[in-house]
Amino acid sequence: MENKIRDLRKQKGITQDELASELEVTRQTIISLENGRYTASLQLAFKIARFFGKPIEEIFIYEEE
Amino acid sequence: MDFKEIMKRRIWAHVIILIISLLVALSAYIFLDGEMRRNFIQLGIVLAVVKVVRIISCTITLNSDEKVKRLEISEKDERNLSIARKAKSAAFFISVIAFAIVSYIMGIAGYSEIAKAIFFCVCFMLIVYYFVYLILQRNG
Repeated sequence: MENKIRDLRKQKGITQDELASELEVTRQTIISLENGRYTASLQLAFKIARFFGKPIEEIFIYEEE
Repeated sequence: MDFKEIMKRRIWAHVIILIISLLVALSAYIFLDGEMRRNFIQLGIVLAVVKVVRIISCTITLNSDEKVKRLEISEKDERNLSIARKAKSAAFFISVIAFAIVSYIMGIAGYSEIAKAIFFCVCFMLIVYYFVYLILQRNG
């Protein structure tokens, strides 16, 4: 699943460390999310959406297999 | 529960295991002899040293709010939890396969009693796995 976390984070002008701290996850999780190696849980997806003030479907792009 | 409280409980658990380890070493020194005595004394001392190190590291962490927060985030991080789950699952299946191979080799080598014991352990592990799977499927 692709996502726009890196773009949104850069738009907001914050570091991976700061985003990790806001979302209460490790920086490694943010790196994996941005690289598309890890798919966030529903709970984390909501947290991310709430943090960026956008709906989930604008951040996470669902691709049918 | 506050994470600091959890840390304090962990320190107490380490202290209890430290005491048990020292008791194991002491009772081995008093009641056993020969190789058994040496093995149990070593086991007790090694465990005690590990627990002392854990108590010190937990105490150092507990004295710093930032370190406590970092540890809490690291332990509750969903990716870390997911990795731990995958590691446990992989470890289980690798162990089952490894035990099955060892059982087979022992059987061929003529150690039929050991082979049987290992085989029953493998069967028991698989039965427990399917039993837990059924419970989780029903309640999950």
